[in-house]
Amino acid sequence: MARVGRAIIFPGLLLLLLVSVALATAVGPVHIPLSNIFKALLLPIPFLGPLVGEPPGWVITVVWRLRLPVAAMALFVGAGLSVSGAAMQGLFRNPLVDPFIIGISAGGAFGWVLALTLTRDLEGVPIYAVRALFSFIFSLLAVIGAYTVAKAGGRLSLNNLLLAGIAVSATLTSVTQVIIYMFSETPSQLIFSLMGSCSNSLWEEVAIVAPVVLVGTAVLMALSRDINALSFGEDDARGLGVNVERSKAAVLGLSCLVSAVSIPFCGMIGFVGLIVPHAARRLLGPDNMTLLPASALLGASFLVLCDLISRSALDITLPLGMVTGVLGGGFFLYLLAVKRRVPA
Amino acid sequence: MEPIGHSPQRWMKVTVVSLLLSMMTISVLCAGCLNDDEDGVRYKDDMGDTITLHYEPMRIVTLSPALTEIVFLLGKGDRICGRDSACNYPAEVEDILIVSTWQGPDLERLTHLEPDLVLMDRTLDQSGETYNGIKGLGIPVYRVYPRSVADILKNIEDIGNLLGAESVANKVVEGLKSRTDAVTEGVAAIEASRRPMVLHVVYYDGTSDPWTATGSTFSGDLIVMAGGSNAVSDTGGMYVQVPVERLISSDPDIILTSQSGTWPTLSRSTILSDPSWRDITAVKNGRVYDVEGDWMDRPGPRCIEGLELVNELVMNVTGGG
Repeated sequence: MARVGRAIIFPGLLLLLLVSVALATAVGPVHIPLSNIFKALLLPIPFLGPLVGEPPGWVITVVWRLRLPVAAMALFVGAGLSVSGAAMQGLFRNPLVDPFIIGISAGGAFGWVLALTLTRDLEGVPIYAVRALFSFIFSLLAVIGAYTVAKAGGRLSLNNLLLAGIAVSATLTSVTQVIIYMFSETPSQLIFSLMGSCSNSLWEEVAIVAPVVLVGTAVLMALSRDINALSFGEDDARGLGVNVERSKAAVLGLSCLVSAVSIPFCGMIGFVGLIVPHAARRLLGPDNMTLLPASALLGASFLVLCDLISRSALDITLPLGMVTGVLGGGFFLYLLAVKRRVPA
Repeated sequence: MEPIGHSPQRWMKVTVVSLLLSMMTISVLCAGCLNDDEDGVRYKDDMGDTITLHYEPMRIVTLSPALTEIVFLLGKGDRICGRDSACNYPAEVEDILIVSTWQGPDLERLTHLEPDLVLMDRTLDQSGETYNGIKGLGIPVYRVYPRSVADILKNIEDIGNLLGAESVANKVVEGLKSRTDAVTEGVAAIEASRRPMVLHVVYYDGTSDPWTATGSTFSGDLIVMAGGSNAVSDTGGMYVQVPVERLISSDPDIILTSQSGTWPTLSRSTILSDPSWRDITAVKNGRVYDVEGDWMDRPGPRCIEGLELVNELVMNVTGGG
């Protein structure tokens, strides 16, 4: 792509994100006049807030307690999943890889359902923290399990890791289903929760996810030279002076961390980590230095918009994972069709 | 406070006041709409959480069909401003705005209604996410957690207290209690060994094993209270599929199939037309009955109708009624 074209891509992506967040704040299941939205947004600002006047109390609640934290959560989760997908596709040299394929989501779902079943009659903030922690720990345990199997020979075989990850995922998913089937009073609700959703996000939860995603993305960007080298093949990377085993472990660990942090709060939001990097690659090419931040921005906008659609398109809330699947799937097919006509 | 003059400090004062105002707004936001004064009346819900009400709730949201039924029974149905989509009784609920589905409530729609009380059932919110979400918005929320018929009677009394309908609640509960007492007295007269075995089929369409209610469900409890013994009482889980051959070997005397106007099933006709069920005592003796699912599975006041119905069917078998 021409240099001028590239120069406007990052400002364009930033603008897209800004518009997405603005839309997610302005639109929702309940119609609120724009003037009231502005009043609610300006309210905490000294001078300006009292000057424009105060909207009805429920509008303040909807804007500051419901729409904004949900948009913020979708933003960081979308960014995290996409960065993680981009890095892993580069690492595995496989366009079909996404952060969920090696067991992160199945592990997280298993941990959450297990903790929920064990603590069914308990309540309170510490219990919720324990459930979130269980979910996070089992995401990582699932990957570590697959990693250990794949590393049996001393060197990590990425193909084996893929296969082991798929086996771990399938096993854990089935065990999760058994637990839900045997012990849940409201299985449909649990299954819905696992389908992924950013709704009911709290600022406190955003405060946990955001730093992990931001720092993780920054460190992965710092490693982008290694990922670039690895995407030519391990031997070439070694020839270029990359410490292959250490880089593989670092990129894998960071990718897992950045995507696993969303699962305790948002469940399994499929497809984002798979397709957003492909779209970003179409815009900017395969250099991970630019691909990773572009994926983050594009993924953030994509999930904010998908969440908006899931909340507002129909009278009922559509599961977010369904919206990302339908929209993402269609868009992916379009990309594939275009790619065939214009070789990249 | 000094009158605002034209002194140079005036703008300082305005700044401080507006800063304070915005901080106050934020802190009011954080603390929720309800201040915890001493004058409010405190109530403890089924989960042991306290809510404080400063006045009788006039705008109520009910997040389960059973709770909607209870509020209507207490004569306060006109105060319900939002409900769950599963509410179908009494007929007046049709006109009330839906704010929640089986997925949980839409908090934005709920907030928009500005309710002064939300009633919800802990059973439908295992993870506590809904409760925390609503409570976090500063809306007073009260939870019930009924596990038995006795719990339901207590729910009616408690909600009567919340809504300022104590005397109606007492009268209603007295009436319901005399009916359950009549049932339990009759049941006490049946020897344990003579209690008929009752199977509750929630759903069966012949394409896979029947979904049954085990002893750990509300209807499982109701069956025992009505004088029956549950055919799948020793099975783990709540609503589970049980192989037909196991049902044949446990040989129930009565089979109840859930039926509902909103979700009609063909369970009964499927059982009657399936040859593998033919030798089960209940089928041989023509004791397969469609029962109103909302009486059996819904922890609301009409469970007493379900109790009396099952009791009558049990008494027919034991010859006691």
